[in-house]
Amino acid sequence: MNAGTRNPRAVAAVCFVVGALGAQILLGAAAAVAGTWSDANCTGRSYAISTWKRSQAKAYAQEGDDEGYEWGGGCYRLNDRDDTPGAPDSEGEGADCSGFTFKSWALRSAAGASGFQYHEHERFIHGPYSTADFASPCSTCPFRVLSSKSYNATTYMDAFVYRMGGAGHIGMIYAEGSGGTDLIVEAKSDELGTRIAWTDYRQQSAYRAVARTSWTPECYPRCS
Amino acid sequence: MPSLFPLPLRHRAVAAGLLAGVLVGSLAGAVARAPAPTRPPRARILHAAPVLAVPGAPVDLRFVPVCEPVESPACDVRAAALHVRSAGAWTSVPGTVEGGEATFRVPGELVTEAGFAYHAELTSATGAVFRYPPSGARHPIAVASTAGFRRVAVPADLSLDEVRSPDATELFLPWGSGPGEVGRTRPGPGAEPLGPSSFAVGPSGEIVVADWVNGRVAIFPPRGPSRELRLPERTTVDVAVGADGRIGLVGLGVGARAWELAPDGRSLGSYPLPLGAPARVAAGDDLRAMVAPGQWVPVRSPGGEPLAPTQQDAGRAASPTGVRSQELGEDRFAAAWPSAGGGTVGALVALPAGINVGLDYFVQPLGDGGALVARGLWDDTRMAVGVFRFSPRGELLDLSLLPEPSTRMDARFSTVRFAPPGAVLAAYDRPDGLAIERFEVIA
Repeated sequence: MNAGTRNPRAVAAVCFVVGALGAQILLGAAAAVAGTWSDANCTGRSYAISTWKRSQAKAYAQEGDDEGYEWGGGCYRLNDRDDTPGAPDSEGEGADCSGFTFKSWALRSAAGASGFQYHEHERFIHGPYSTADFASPCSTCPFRVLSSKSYNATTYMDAFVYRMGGAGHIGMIYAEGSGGTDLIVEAKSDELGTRIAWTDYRQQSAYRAVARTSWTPECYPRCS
Repeated sequence: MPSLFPLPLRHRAVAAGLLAGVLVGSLAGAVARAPAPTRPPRARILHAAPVLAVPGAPVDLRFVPVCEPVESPACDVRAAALHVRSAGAWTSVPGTVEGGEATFRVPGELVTEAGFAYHAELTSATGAVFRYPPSGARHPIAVASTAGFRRVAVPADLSLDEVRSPDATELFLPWGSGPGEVGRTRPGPGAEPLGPSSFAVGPSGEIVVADWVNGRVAIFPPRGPSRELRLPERTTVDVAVGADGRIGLVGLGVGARAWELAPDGRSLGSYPLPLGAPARVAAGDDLRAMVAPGQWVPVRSPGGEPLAPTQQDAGRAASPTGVRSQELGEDRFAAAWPSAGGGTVGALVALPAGINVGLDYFVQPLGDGGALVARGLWDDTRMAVGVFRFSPRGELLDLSLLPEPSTRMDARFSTVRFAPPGAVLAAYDRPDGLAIERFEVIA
């Protein structure tokens, strides 16, 4: 059978498959040219805002639940899954613990600057603060270490931080518990991603309580 | 009129096929990269339930919705009401809402010597009502009272620096992925170092370690070689072993699942946990998960079928074994256990000023009618494990302070375990491995 006698439907079907595969290959090539996962997905912006409440920070942090983790990262694609599992430190999805805190607290990109800056989840930004900075804040930093870890001294969206040697971690209080436990929202690790879980940072001796300063009151703009 | 497609039939087929293919392929690619479509709101209420309360003293309750999508008005909690059953009558207690959380104070007059029960309703901006527990008044959360408990004051000179040394090293497991080793995640700035996530003591004295980093559960019998079972999912889990050797596992946090393994490692089931945020598991005839402090739910039927959320809710209990332990403010706690006569024995413990009540590790009834109670004790810079030994009448016979246990274990409640007949095992991070140390607490 020569080409001239082939069934046009079969030819169309073959060409359909070739076309679809070709399009996928071209899309893949485009993503590859763009570089890493973050190059292709992190299109968010950061911009100055005048107010930021604890409740807004809590809702912002909650959206990170079930997403990824990336040491030094900062960009989320909100779909309740880790888009880059098993790809540590390769500019994949998620923030690390200090970057997640930076974004949830709407801290400004300039180290030590006061005020609020909203960072869209899809913005790739870590911010200037490591766990060492959260554990020992600079004099102008818009957060401070609390003198006590008791439940009377903290409230939701404060955080617990430790830094020891080269290692450290910070997790925010999603909701206060009792008996040394709290619901913590945190960018935990490559394997565990960003999550909300009961844990006991409050009672662990290595941890200190740290709080963002200058939150906008919850009653705003109707505070009497 | 000229043809719009002046090509031979074969060429038209090629062109049409390619065009359609490219369109479909591009569309598929675009859909795959698009943000997730809008979903209907889903709410999960997180609530630590008190299991004991002092008669006449008010009790604070907090309900925390985790609702998605966050920006939906249906997730915007605006009002809350608590319904309290006390002395046979229901009373409504108004609540306050801030930061999406609903908080209530149960008045002291509703906390009777018979305890009380409650359920809550949270109403969103759209009028949607979230009930907790989901079955509402049909299965309210029951709180027992501390009436009749013996009052115990811990001596004021208690120091968290004066901790015991272990009597023996029960097991030492070097870091690694080989036999007899356990893994740990790479420590580094911004990544919390984690080792095995939990350990349990089996009915024959075997130590079962959730070595999740290596995707396995490692079993170390008192004598003979160790063996390994495959972990169903490579995530941190709490582990427990039933009297029949079956192994229960539960993932940690919102959205986690439970699993059950036969002693030979066969998977017996995988179970969703739609309520709360699991943190602990109990194995045996009745596989249970702790979805919040004070709330244990069954996850499967006796035949091994997954239980629906309403069935899990209906089977809710304060603990899997009938014991109770409850912090009462930052410096007091109560513990209760079954007495030899079929009643309950309890102790109401006041800690010295400046020492706070920490994690509830276990309440272990003893053969003499007394109990061992292990609780975290902490202040702003130190932490220790208090192991309290009580008499059958609730008197404090002894208090041992153990050093702060492992912080690399993600299942925080299972870093300290009772080991029959009279020892406590606790896990410790060492530079070269994980040590499970033995403390004899009953001579």
